[in-house]
Amino acid sequence: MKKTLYFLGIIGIIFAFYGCRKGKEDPFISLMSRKARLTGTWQISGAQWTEEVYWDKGIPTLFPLPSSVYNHLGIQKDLEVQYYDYYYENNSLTEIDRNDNDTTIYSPYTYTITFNKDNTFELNVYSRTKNSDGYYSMDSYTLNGYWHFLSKTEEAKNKERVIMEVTKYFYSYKEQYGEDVYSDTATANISGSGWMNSDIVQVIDLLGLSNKTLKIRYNQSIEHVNGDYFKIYGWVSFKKIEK
Amino acid sequence: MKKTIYILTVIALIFAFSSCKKGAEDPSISLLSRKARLTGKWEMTSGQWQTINYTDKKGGSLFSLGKKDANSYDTYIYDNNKLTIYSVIGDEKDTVIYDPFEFIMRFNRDHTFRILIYSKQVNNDYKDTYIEENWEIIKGNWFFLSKAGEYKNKERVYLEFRQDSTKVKYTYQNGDSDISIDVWNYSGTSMNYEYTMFFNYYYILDFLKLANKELKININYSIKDDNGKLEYSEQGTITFNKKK
Repeated sequence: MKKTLYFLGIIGIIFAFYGCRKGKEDPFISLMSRKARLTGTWQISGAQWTEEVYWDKGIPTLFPLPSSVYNHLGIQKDLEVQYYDYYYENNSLTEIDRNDNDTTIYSPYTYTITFNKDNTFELNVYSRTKNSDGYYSMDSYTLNGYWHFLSKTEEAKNKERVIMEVTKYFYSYKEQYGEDVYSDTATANISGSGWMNSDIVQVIDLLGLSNKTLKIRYNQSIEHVNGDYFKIYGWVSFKKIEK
Repeated sequence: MKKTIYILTVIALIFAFSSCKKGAEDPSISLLSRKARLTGKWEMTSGQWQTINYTDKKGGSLFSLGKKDANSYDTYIYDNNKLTIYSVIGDEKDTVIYDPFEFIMRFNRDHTFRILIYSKQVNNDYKDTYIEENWEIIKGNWFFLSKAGEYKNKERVYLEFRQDSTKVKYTYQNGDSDISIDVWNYSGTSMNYEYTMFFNYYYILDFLKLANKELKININYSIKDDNGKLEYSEQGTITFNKKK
């Protein structure tokens, strides 16, 4: 009898831990809370995603004209789907424009996120690419702000997603032509909450969260009633470099 | 002895309830949870807020659309179902009236929300007069935000859009009308920063007061550059009453 109870107890505990699983690639059992696992500094270790833009040639889908405008003007839409594939390997991000068979390599490409226990975060992205004329351009941006777990919805489990509320944004761009350097920066310090304005927020979907690895799912679709759309799907993985 | 314990218990309960206070104007005692108080249908009843776009001599701030010749001020006053916007750009002044203007938010227990906005505006453009009516429905998910910096746990709510539909109807003096319908559907989540910059499909609401029958939103927002110079600011409050 005691043995059976012991056995059932173990099964119960396993199920209880299993119930804590949120992302599809979460560890089967973890004794650490999701906050404890997420806290720390993460560095990109791999990535593979696709951006799909269905658009009228020359008019980005992000600012489409209503169909009625085309009908009124009596013109046919000249539609195509543009695909951009990205993958990260050996400190470099490769972008492939499938339609034009054009490849751009960003090297080095660094991407780190630090989630702190006090719910603040810092995100840094830096990339360098060689232009067609042989010169280099460098992009970097840093975001600071607060992070929060999101609660359960129809689509996601409790704490499966994280919202990153940006309170400071810094962007820097530099182009180098031999000895000539062109550079520009933009900074925004954001405080408080406004009314129906563009609060800068990012939401990340945690596909896998263990103590040492983090995998984020890219999965977003913005579709317009006239059929234009933008989609992004794939993943980015990180390794913890600092607790 | 019994009396002392009774008094101490009452004091402890008062402190326990008052610690639930999040917004500055929240009721000091409430037996309902914040979720229970928020759940329901809210109608905008009054409000006053101002937005200021500060001139950037370099040619437009990060968040403004192009260069402005002078600081621009927009003052919004909402009263008696009417929204009046007074705009000032340098020496130029303009007034726009939406009458009626209806703004209704419904927060559901399952964390979904729906916002309905209806506005009507009479335009006198040279000799032509036309009426512009706008219907907008925004659907999505709502979440309380946790403690962060100066904000308390559940003081603010984050609205995640899933659908934004707009119908616009123009009725001209001669009786003709034009209708356009615009619908955006959003799904999933993304980390791609460049795109979130251009899409306002997230709102964060800061509750100054969340009572069972009254909701007051605090607008206190600013964007400054690295030298602390203001680029944009919003200040004000909007009040909603719960509808049955």
